[in-house]
Order: sequence, then C-alpha cells, then structure tokens
Amino acid sequence: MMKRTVIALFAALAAAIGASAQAYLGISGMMYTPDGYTAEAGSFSVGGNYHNAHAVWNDYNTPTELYNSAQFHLGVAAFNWMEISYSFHLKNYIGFVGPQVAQYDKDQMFNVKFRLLKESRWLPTIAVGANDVFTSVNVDGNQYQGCVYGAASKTVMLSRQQLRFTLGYRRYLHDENSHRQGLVGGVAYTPSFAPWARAMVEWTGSEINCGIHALVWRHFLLQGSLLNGRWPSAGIAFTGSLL
Amino acid sequence: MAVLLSIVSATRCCAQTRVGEVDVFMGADLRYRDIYLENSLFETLVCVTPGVRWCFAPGWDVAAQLFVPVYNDYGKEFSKVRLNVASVAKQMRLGRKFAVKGSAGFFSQDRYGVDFKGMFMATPWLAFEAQAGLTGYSRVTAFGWQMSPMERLTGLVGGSIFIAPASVQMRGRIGRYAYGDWGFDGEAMRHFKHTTVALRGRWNKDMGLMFGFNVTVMLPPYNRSRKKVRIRPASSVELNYTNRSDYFTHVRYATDPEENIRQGWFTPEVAPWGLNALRPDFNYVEKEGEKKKDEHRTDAASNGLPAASQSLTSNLAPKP
Repeated sequence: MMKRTVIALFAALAAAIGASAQAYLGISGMMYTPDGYTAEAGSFSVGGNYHNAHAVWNDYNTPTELYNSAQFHLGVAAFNWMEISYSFHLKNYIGFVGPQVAQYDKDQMFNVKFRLLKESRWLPTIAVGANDVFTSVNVDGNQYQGCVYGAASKTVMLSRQQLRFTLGYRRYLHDENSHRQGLVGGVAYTPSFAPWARAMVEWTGSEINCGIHALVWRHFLLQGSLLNGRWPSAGIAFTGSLL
Repeated sequence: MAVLLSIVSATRCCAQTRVGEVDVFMGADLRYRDIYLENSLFETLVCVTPGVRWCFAPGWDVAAQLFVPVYNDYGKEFSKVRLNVASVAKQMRLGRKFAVKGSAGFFSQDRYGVDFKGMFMATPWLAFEAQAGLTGYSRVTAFGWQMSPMERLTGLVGGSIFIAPASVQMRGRIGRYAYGDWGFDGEAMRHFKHTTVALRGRWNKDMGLMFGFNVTVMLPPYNRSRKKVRIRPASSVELNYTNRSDYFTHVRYATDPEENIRQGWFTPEVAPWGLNALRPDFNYVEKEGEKKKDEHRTDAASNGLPAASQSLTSNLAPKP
C-alpha cells in the first residue's frame, strides 16, 4: 500500500498539474468530476492529456478491451460566469482492418459551463454545464462523454490552508459512461506552503480518484491522477489571461 | 462529413499606415482536415505566406500575398506556389457614418474580380454592413493559370451590435457565396485585449446547419516603427473550426490578406466603430521630429487613438 502511494505521488508530481481542472476538457473542475467554480474572465487553457485505458469508455473501448487515449483541448472563460471549450479525443485501438493494425478514433466535443451563483460567506458557488453537447452524427452517435451536470462548491480556509468541498449531480447521454452518473463530488486541499498546488480526491459515481494539480512557472498547469487509485493519467496545459 | 480545421496567419498592416509606407510580412497557414479515413489521423497542409502592402495614396493600397507550401498531404493541386491575394483597394469615409471600400484584383479562395463593401455606423452600438462582388474563378500557380469568366454575383447584407461594457459583438449576415449557394452566418464575439473568441452558427441551403468557432490573436510587436519599409511577422494568427465543410459550400473570399474577424473590413480611421473605436491593437511609434509636429493630435486622442478615429468616435458617442 505504501509503495502504491509513493508511486502515485511520483506519477502525479511528474505529470504535475495546477489550478482547477476537469482540465482535460479545458473547463474548470476537479479531475473527472466538475465543480461549482468558473475561471476568471479571460482565462484560457491549451493543453493535452494522456488517459489511461480505464478512463474513457466507448464503442471501441469496453471493459473487456481497453486502449489508452490522448486528449487535447482549448478552453476560455468568456466571462466570469461562462466557460467554453473545444476538446479533441484521440483513441488508438485495434480495429477491423486487421487484428494487429492500430486505428484511430477521433472524437471532438464542445463543452460549456455556467455559474449560476457566486460564492459568498455562507453560500456555495453553483454551476451547471454540459460536455460534448453537439453531435453531427445522430442522436445516439458518438457523444461518449456527453453529459449534463450541476455542482456546488464551498471553500473553507483553515489558517492559510484551503479546503474545497464539491457535491454535484451528473447525467450521461451515452450508455458507455453511464456508470459514472448520479451523485459526484470531492475534496481539494491546498497547503499553505504550496499555494500553487492542489491535492484532490473525488468520487465519479463509480471510482474514487486521487491526484495533484500544480501550476508551475506561472503558466504551466501540470496534472497527474490515479483512476480508482490504480491507473495513472497525466496532462499538461498552458494557461494565462487574455485580458 | 469532412471536418476542416485551419489555422490561418494573416496580417493587418495598412491600418494607420501613411502614404508611401511599405509593409513586408510573413506568416504561416496551417490547415488540416479530418475526412475520417480509417487508420489515418489528419491530412495537413502547411504554407508560409509572404506578403507585401504599399500605401501609395491616401486610402489606397496595393497588397499581394503568396502561399508557399512546405508540407502537403492535400494532393498535387496544393503542391505549387500560388497567389492568394493581389489586389488594389480604396477605402474612404462618406460623411460621418458611412464607410465604403472598393477592391479589384485577385482575391483569396481562387476568385478574381471587383468587390464593394459598405458600412453604416448607425450608433456606437449598432452598424449595418453590405458587400457585393462580381468574380470569376482564377488560380494562379507557379506552373499555370486557370480562369473562368467574371460573371458570378455574390453579396451579403447584415448588421452588428457592439456591447462595449462587456466587449461583446453579435453579428448576423445573410448572403450569396462564391459558388452560388446562399446562407446565413451568426456570430457572437468576445473581444479581449489582443484576442477575439467567436462562436459561430451557420446555415447553408446546400449543407444545412453548421457550427464552429474562431480564435483570432493579434501578434506582437504591438508598437511599430514609422520606417518607410517595415519588415515584420504576420500581425495575427487565426484558428478556425467548423464541424462540417467542403471546398464549394459557404465559401467567402477575402479581398485583403489582412482581413480578420476582429478588425473587420476597414481600418480604424475609416470605420471607427466597435472595437476599432475603442483601442487599436497596434501603435505606431513616431520619430522624434514628427512627434512634436503631431503633438496636438496625440493630445486630442488621450486614449491613444489616432486623431481621425477620436473625432469620429466623439461624433458617434451618445450625447449626455
């Protein structure tokens, strides 16, 4: 167990990540779970992620036949209360051309998030959003990560340490990831000695994930996570402000 | 259906330039398309885009730009050096609220002919615009020149709303496109300091509903010299995405290599409306001697706008 924890921490730090995530989509949030915050107006994020095979399921990526994948994103907070992003998911799999011939499945998606309530002294921040909201194929086409959600988050300061609690509800549009719907949430912790980093634990409705995000050199958001405490995913994003 | 994503570098060099000044610039044009070939990622086309512009009289300029392919998966048609734009244009203001522009020559998207544009700046937040062109097909490469008669009439008409406190611009236009199809464009733009992010919805008679986005980033240096010949990189980079497209649907040509969604058709002096009336992306650094000569102008434009822009902005500003 200890060995596993050490490996997890190293994987996370090596991949490093920073501010808030759900960063693999370019939208603020936790790792695979949304939260109630939106980024400041003008914030942008351009980055890429590696996903462990267990992270995303689709027609070609089933529990019995799993393949790793990569994702790229471009996200911007148009206003304090609105974030939009475009992400591109590249899945490598062994397809019908031949038993050992690698093929690629390309899944593009638009994501949007609106903040309905700003955090105040007593009230949490509340946001609603949707991932992979359009499809040009058909109703049940390729919206593997298509979902709608609502989430509330509250930050508590303990001296100079920060604890952020999130509780939300998510519903998937496609069967492949429907095991991850229902109540979701998590806790993020920012220590006083490293205000540029955040350690997180989240419940996706199916798995318990843990990870670290770290913002280094002001602009580089590094992220590492362990899906269900076992399977590593990692990413890097260039972030900044357009204002 | 094909998905086409392109990154286009363009330049915006004649804005606020003076008679006799020449801009030599170069950017890059990256296009890649996803035509959903199994076992294939993308097909890519990368060109460098050297160009030149010369302002030879007030409001007049000549501009030309070449596309030089450096990497090509698009096939033989795109393997040669080709002319993107070579045009002469005149733009001017009519009265306080009209801006007009006429162009002739070779335009982008392999069109040539004549083109007219107009803009009516009704209020500081509302403007109407129209365009009409008579063009034909023309493709000039290093090894040949194909043309068709100049008989295709294209045009558009629409309007824009600019919400200054939020730096948001909404634009809707209906028109006939370069290959005779017609459709509608709706755009919602959020302007930042040197970047514009636009969400775009389109409907075309032949293709139906399309959507996408555009990100335009104005590139540094933002301070430019007053040299007679300026050599510099492209002044903007543009990322365009649309979920469905082909080469012959919803195609609109550009008459100017510097045209972009952020700055529109006109220079800030001619049409100081919307973002152009608020803040220019590029400042022109005067020589020491000329600074004194123009001191009264910069005083008038306390926010850094050119004198012409400032006066027209004042005219358009709502009266207290």
